[in-house]
Amino acid sequence: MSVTLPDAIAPPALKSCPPAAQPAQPVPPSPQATTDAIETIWCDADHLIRQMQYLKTDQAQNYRLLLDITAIDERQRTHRPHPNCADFTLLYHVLRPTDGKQLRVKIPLTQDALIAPTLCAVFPNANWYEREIWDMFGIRFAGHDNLRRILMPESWQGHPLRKDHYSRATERGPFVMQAATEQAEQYALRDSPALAGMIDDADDDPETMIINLGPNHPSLHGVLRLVVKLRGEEIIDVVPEIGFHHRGAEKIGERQSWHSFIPYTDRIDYVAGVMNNFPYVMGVEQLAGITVPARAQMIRIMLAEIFRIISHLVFFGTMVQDVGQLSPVFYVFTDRERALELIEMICGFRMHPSFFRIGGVAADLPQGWDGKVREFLAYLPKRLDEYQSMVMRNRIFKARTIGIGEYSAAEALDWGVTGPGLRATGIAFDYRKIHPYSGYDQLAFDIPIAQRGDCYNRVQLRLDEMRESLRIISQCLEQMPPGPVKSNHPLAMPMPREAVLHDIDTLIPHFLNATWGAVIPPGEVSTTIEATKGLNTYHLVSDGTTQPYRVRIRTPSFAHLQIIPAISRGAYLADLIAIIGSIDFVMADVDR
Amino acid sequence: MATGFFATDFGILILTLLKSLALIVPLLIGVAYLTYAERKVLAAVQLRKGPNVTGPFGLWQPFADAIKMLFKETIIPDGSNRYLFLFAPVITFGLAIIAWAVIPVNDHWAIANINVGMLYLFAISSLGVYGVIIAGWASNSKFAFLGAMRSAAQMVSYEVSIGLVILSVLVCTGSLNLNAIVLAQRHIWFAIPLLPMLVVFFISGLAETNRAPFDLPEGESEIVAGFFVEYSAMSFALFFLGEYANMILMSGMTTILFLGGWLSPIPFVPFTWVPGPIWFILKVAVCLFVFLWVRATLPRFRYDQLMQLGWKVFLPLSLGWLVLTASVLEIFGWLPHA
Amino acid sequence: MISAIAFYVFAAILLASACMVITARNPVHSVLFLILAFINAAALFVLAGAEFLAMVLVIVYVGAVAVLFLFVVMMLDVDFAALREGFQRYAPLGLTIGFILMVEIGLTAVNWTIAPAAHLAALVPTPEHLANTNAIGNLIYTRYMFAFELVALLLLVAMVGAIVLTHTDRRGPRRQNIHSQHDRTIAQTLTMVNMKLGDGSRQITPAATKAEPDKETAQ
Repeated sequence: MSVTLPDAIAPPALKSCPPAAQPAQPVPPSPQATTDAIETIWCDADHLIRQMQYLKTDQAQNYRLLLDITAIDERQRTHRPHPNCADFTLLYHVLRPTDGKQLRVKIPLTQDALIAPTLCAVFPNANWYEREIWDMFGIRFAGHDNLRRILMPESWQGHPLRKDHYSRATERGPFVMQAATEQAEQYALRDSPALAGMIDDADDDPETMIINLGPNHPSLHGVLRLVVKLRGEEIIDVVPEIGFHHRGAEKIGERQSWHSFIPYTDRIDYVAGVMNNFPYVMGVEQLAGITVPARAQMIRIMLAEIFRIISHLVFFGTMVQDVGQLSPVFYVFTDRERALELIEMICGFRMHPSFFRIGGVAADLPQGWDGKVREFLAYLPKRLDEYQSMVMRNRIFKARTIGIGEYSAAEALDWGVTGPGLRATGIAFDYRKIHPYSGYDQLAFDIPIAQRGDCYNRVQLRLDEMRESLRIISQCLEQMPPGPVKSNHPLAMPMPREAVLHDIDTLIPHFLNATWGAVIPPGEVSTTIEATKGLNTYHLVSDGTTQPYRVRIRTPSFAHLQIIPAISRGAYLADLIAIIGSIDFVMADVDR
Repeated sequence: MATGFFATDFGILILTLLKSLALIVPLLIGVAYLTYAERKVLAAVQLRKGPNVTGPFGLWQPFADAIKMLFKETIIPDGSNRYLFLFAPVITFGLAIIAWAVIPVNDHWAIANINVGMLYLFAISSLGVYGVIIAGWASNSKFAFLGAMRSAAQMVSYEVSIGLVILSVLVCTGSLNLNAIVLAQRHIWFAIPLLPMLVVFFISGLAETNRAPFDLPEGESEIVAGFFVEYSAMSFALFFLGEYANMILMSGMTTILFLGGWLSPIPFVPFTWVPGPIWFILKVAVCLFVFLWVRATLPRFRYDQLMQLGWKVFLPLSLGWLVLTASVLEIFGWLPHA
Repeated sequence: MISAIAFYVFAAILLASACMVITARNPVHSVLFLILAFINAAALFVLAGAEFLAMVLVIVYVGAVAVLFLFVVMMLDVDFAALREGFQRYAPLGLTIGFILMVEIGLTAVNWTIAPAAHLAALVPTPEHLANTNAIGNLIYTRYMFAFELVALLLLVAMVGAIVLTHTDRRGPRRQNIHSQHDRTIAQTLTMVNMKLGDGSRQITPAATKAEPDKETAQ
């Protein structure tokens, strides 16, 4: 281990498989020290399934939720974290819902044997993650039944997140669209349902019809494509196709300086603004060992909660419009406008404020902010009451949503559903409470929990969450501490001007920081926050340079989309729209 | 009434043409301004301004829309049935217009005051489904086809309850003549004794005209625009106008069957001075407003819920009420003997 | 004069469209021509002064029966190549039956005699001072009551039969009970939970709400 850590934590207890299943292990799971307090163990591909099975089912372990699977191309990494580290590392990130404890399992893979067993049998939601890894890294998963590209087009050459794949168009020759290429691309769009992994037990049934919703459709909230197999109005199967909104944010992260990546994170979930700034800057701060001043933390919470309201309002309006009620979306957007005015007043920007900075926030609150926030706090509750009676008590709305798109708590955990979608199934799981970050522990707020996990619950839950967010904002308003809004850490703040002009020892670091960007100490962190839609996790790998070595963005929308087929089969086509609306996803958040 | 030239065969033909023109032109203007009214009403409900740029208060907006539609390209999709594709909007719009032949806007002010007027209206409205299914089939598109299937099932289903509601009015009047139906309401509008039937009729009318909350054939958020998803330019405009003409027709039927047609709501002197057509138009406008109001307020039904409402609620209700009405009339000896 | 012109126009269209029904290659076109024929027949009824029959013809045949025809023809992708294969095989049988029918019709036509008093009825289609709707009603509900009811019963039997034959008890889409949906209140499924910091997820059920009143407050 070549990583030097300022405050290396004690190696965690060695994880081993249950005795009954214990084989002769050539390499027993061995721990790795990390910058964050998240336990990390190394395993090998042969024992992966058994290890994960054990972590999921053992009573003492009980890591029920597969948070994320990703990979790291380690070939250019100078600071190897562990002696087992090979060319590629598969990273499995699991979470224990009972106490929010996280665990990482790493699998080393060598360049000539890029294959690992599939985890779909243990965690159903591994399906798409494994497809993404195949797409991005070219690592194959033995036993995966539908290992196709997921984000890139099927005709793509190479695997983009490998270090040897170019990241800019200028790094390759000019692109010329040949007639043959165009035809091939067009042809590739006509993929067969069987290829898409669709149930085809009744393909010759004349009553079935395959209909293609999207990628351009009024109620799919962006460029999502759903291939739906219908019998009359009944859905036999749905296959979601994603990737139309892929911008390669993770690849972009590898060539931005630590600081200049912040604006890109805004655009991951463009409805929820700072919600992606939050885990990113928290991660960088953890890597650099920066403590954020109390005032900055409180500002962050306040902005995050305003954006939670904004996102929930958009969700509410569009969901209701999908069910066919035309008017609430206009009322809701009026409210959202009010909230965006707050954001604009504080940040200067509306949807993509990029207001969080490494070590704090960009600027102090403007004069008179408290009055505006107070106005908003007085304004919104009445409107929420109106929505409650206008929509939630509407009989047609109830008939369209109650009992529709139900899933149980077990299903939700299997599919990696987090956030309101999980809380709608009766599980009290809110990361702000379980693992309070950035000072959420100082604020009093309740968590609404629903039982049935149907569309109605998911909508109602968000309405109530907005009320709780208002409570949090009002507490921020009352308790806003004085003080600086940015840490005085050298990696966060420019050097004091007097010192820069005075001595060369300050001038040089200042010059380097200003031109190349801050050098963040090597290490790995995962930071998780309760975003508007679920858990938002950033896994940052620093190799001790001015750029991230790897930025992994785990978004809730990606996980939530995977559950659509499971809960839509047997429902009506109109229910599918209600289900999609109630799941609350943003395609930019899915595809990144 | 008519003497000289207008008593001859040819004269009657000319007279009928003139009468039709006198009805159709205001009707088309009404349709155009209904689109404007809808946008204004929806805007008011949604706290917006609505069209307000073209002309004073945006009053020229319908004409601007019409001109835009006229100059757009009519796109005929590949693999569609060309003639039927173009014919379908004509059916929809034509039916919505010819139904007006029997609607009396004042005493004996109808182009054809025939003694089966009610049946004629019913027959015409039962044909309305053709425009939709032909459009859905001829478009050669799955969305359109799905919309057409929904629409056909919906219109056929709700016609049953509309028919039964009309029957309960007919047993009260003893005539199929629309003029006679209105005159039978001189003492009391049928809206009062037959209130549940008015509700059933109006809701069925919403379903029959594919309006919210029964706009599943169009189902914006599900099947995009339903049966006319492939239409553009004038062929689209004809569907659009046909839908609005049908709304006016349905409001006119409601007015005649339940709201006393052209009769003054308050039978005193200053109100009876107001000419009948004004009352008729006002009543139709009120019904139309309810159409728009409902659209701005309610979410959409699901297909099976709509069918359930039609067959399991409205059909027994209207059937029961028909039997009840007939029994009451028989017991009290109020049956009309025409 | 005008009515005479109208008669010939309608009659011509009726005959032409009837021919098109059996000659059109596309079955959807056939059904549409059938509808045209119905409508022209209705127009002829109107010319003959039987407007009630005309309207009923349109409502029942065009508004309901033909819609179903059209539906069936559109939904079922009829394979005409397969049908034509059968044509060769069944042609002799079909021709034989057709021939027999033709002979029967011919025999009937030859032996047809018109009742001596019939021409009187033709001159007076409806009784004086009575709309034909009432006239039909008077006949159907008095003299032909039994036959009329019997026909209605026959249709009912046919309908029940059709439903029984086609109804399959397949596991349909997820059923819902609208009343139970309407009856559900928010408090039944929603609880506000005051979680302790660092406290893990628990399954919150309404029962748990009662068991731990200090931790959770029902909304």
